[in-house]
Amino acid sequence: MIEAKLRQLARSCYHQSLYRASKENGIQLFDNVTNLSGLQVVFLYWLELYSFLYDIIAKKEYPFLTDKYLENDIRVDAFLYYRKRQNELELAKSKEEQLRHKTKFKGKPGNQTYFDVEFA
Amino acid sequence: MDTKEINLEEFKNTLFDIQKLSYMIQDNKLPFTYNKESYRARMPSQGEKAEAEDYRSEKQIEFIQRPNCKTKAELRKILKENNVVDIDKLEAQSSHIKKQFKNLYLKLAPKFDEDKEGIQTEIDKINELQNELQEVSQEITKHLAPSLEDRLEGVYLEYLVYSCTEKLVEQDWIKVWNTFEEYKKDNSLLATRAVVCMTHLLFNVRQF
Repeated sequence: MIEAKLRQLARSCYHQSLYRASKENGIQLFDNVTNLSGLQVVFLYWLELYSFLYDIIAKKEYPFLTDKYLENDIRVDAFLYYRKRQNELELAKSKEEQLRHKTKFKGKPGNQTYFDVEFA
Repeated sequence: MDTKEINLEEFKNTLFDIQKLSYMIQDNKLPFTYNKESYRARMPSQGEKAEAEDYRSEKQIEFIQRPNCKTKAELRKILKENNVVDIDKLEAQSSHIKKQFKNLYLKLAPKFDEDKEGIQTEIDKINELQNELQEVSQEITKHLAPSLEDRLEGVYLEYLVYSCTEKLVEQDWIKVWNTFEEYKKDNSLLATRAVVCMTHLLFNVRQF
C-alpha cells in the first residue's frame, strides 16, 4: 500500500522535475543528506526508475509504452520483467553467435581461443 | 478483527495519506499523534544502531541457552516431522506462483492502452495470484515467527523504537521512554504505533 503511494509520488511531474534538477544542478531532494530512511531509499529507487521509463517513452523504443501505461503499477512491473527477459534473450543470442564464430587451434584439439575471431 | 486492530488499520491509512507521505519523505523522521499529542519516530544514528546490535547480540546469547530455542532450519525440520506444515512445499508453491506471474507479465506487457479488456483480464489473473502468493508468504512467516532469527529481528526493532521515539514537549523533542524496561512495560497503543512507524521508516533499509 505504501509502496504504491511512493510510486505514485515518484512518477508525478513535480517529483520528476525535482529529481532532474537534483541530478543536473545539485538541488537537494531531502532535508537530510545522510542517514536516509528506508522510505527515502525506496522513493529514490522509484524516482530513478520512472525517470528511466520516461526516457524510454521519449525515445519511442517500445510503441506500446505510454504515459498512461506508467499509471498502472502492475503494467509497469510487467514491462520491467518483459524488458529484462528481452535483454536476457538478446544476450544469450549474442553469446551463441560468439561461440559459433570462435576459432580452434589446428593440431591442438580441444584448445579454443576467443581472441582470433573469424567472421563468416 | 478487534477494536485495537481496527484502530491500527485506520492509523496506518491516515499515516500514509498521499499528501502526508509527500511531506514525510522530506526528512528521515516520521511524525504521528497520540492522544492529541505530537510524537515522532526518527532514523537511528550509527551509535544507536550499534547499541541495538549489541543488545541483539546479548539476547542471542541468552536465547540460545534456552532449551526450546530453535533456528529457522531446526524449526522447519520440527514442523515437517510433526506434520504441522512443510515449509519446503510452501516455498515450492510460492516459486510456482512466481513462475505463473512471469508468464502473465509477458502477456500483459506488450498490450496497447486501447486493449482495455485484454489488459484487465491479465491484471485480474495477476491480482488473484498476488493474493495466493500473499497467503503462502503469510503462512510461512507465521510458522517461522518463533525462530531465533525472527525473534532477534524483533528485539532489534524494539530497541530502536525505544531509542528513537520522541515526544514534543513545548519546543523540544524528548525521549518517550527513559529506559528500555519502561518501554517494555508500556502496553498502550502508543508503543504499538511507534513500532508501526519505525517499521515503515526503516522499510527494509537493512536489505539495501
